[in-house]
Amino acid sequence: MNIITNKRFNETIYEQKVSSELKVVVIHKPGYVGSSALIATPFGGMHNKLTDQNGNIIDILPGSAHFLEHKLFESEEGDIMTAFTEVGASVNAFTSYEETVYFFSTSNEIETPLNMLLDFVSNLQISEDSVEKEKGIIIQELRMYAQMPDARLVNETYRSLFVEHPFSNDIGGTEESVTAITKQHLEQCYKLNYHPQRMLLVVATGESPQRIFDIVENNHASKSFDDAPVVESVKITEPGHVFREYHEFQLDVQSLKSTVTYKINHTMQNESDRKKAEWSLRLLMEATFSALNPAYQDWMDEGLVSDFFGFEVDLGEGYGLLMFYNETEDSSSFVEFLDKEIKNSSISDSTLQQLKRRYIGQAFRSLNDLEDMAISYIRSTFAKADFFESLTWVEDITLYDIENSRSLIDLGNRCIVSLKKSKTS
Amino acid sequence: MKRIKIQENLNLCIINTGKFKDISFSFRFLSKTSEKDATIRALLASMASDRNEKALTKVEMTRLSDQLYGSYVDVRNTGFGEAICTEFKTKVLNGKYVNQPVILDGFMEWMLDMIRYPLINEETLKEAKKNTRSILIRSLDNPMQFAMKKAFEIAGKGYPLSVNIQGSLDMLDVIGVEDCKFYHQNMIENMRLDIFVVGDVEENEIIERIKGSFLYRGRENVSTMYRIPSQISESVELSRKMDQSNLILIYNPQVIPTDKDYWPLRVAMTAFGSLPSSLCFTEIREKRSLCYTIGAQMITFDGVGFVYTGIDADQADTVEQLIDMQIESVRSGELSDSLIDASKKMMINSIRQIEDDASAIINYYYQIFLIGRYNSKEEIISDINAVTPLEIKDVFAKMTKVTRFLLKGDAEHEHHN
Repeated sequence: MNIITNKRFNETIYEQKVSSELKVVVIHKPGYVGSSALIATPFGGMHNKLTDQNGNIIDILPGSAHFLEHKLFESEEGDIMTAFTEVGASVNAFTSYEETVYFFSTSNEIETPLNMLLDFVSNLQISEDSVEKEKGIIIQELRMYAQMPDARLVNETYRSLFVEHPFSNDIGGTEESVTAITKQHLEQCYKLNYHPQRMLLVVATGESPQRIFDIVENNHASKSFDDAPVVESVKITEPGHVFREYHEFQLDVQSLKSTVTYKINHTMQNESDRKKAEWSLRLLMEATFSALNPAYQDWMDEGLVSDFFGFEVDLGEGYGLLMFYNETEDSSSFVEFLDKEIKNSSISDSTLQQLKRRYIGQAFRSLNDLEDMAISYIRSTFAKADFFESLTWVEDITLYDIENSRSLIDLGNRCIVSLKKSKTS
Repeated sequence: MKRIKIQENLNLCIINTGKFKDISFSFRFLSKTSEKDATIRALLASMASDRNEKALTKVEMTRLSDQLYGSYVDVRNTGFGEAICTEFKTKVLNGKYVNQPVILDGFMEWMLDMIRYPLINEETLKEAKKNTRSILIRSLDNPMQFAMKKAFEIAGKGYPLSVNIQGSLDMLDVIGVEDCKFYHQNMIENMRLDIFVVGDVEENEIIERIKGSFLYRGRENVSTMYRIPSQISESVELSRKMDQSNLILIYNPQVIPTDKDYWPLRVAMTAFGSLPSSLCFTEIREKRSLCYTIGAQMITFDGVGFVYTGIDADQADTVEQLIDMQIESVRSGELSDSLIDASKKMMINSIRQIEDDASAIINYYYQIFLIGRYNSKEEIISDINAVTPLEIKDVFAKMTKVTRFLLKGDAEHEHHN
């Protein structure tokens, strides 16, 4: 058992691999009455091409990871969600671009629901009929998000920004791709991505870590697993340019919104390098485009930015973006404003120290919630980063780093997306 | 948990725990609701969070906030039946993590200033109106939120259920600076105030600081729970150019938390539509694939319940009939013992898990105080456990449908490739 104690954050984490090669992590939270257990696979909405040990490329239909998440709750023995509720545990799952996570929380004893979680994730039981039936539910889900203005705006922005990267697809896929998914396709996705060796179990609990390891060991010792598939996600070569520079779409809404997104091209391979560059850009943008900047009040008064205005920075493996969003009909003035202010952006040492203080406070607060902490741990692990180090990356950022990060922005390499009002409404 | 009455209708509740990294504070002012009051409160909430008379600019307020490791005051309004509550909520990092006794050094003063000295003038009101208008319009753009609001307006016409707690677009233009100042003064001087502190604190110190502050005075209470009289069922449809339709059904069992059949109703509603194993979820989503979202909830202090779902327009009648059938099956006593037990377990699980989330602790105890029926969680758990199938059957007989609202999607399905 590997024990990691972080004195500064006053947290202790226990890690152990059980005999099935599943890595089990216990975030020990004495004093908490509840427990949350999350089991994750690094298979999400962006994994649309996998390669096996022979170099064969396996195409994955958009939305497959999400479809599989829906279907894993099916069992010949009865409904899995019902079984969890019967023992007083609340079970759920989510699919992101990077991973799929199944989880439960309970204030009752943990052994039964933990065994149930391990059981249902280890056993895909689906029929042709049930796969067909699920398509109706998933299509309703896609339509729900498609008519939510903010979700749709982000989706359309990604579709404009990326040429090859699977971020251009919705995590749930399209109605066409969902319709094309078959039982065999889901079984193949499952076989390739749900082996214990590829997965990670994180339990945040006040229970004894050794007891958790014993429960998992006993559960997996009673199961037989095939050999672990040698499978990797195919590296995506994303072109440097945006897919479309301008795009507008319509919804029956009153609030008209726009995004302006600068595509960031970088070659950073290491997660900590990327995230430090991301922090550097974020801090520069925060100093410029928030209430820290005295001009911000004037911008609000003049209507250049609304209360909806904000930005996102994301630097991942093979992609990067700096996205601004605002409630405005006039996207050209918005772009002009952003270009000018990005050129003029600056940060003083005192503002940098002020922001570091804010974000360190936020890092401490992020450790209050069992599920949030477990999800952060999963994401750090899948990104090959150290969880506790990731909490304090912001402290390492210097003015020099921030100045360097500015060169990542190419003002000419951007896309604009506008949400317009439907003509008939 | 200790509730200390330090003045008439001024209560302090301290939950002393060291398990969180920060200390949460919540100041909750309560008064009767009306469309105008809700709008003034929405404007106050907008004005009170990013500046005050001592920190005149957003820049200065941000600086003070970041000195406290990113503490900020979140001001929000919540309806509790006939009453509306304005909450000033903030958290401060426990000083032991940064070798600084943060709570003693300026935090309390900063927080109390935020409540006492919001910057209310023509300029800030103009900005608040603009922001409130944007928030209201945005919520209309969200089909499900819009559908729920319209359904509540219809079902609660003439009653607090119809009041939009985010304010009214029509009222925004008639409210002036003096209205806001007067309302704020009245709030901090006269309205019932419940203060919650969750974290690692010295109780006596908190008590003394509150006693030494402007908040320490007798206050006026108001009633919260009420029943909407029996109504004739109304059905309304609106259309919007979109793919999906949103169906909202409102029921008026006229059961409030002080009634003996309140917990039977809650258990029944959980089994009917609040669990992934509930009747609605199983029969409409899982068996027939007619929707992705479906659920049932209570609006506790107004004594009503509702079902919401997102469906295809041409399935609206089928889905409504299926929901009616589920109601009927509960009324006729067909709810299985296992689903009743599971519902109880899940409700009890939620109550116990509250202890792991500071905001949930505060929300939970505040409701308990307003209801005034319980002294501990264990009493509630015992009442939940005591609910019988017969009580469930009887209380569901009161589930009269009073409103059907359909926001009908009339667009051709778009395909996004």
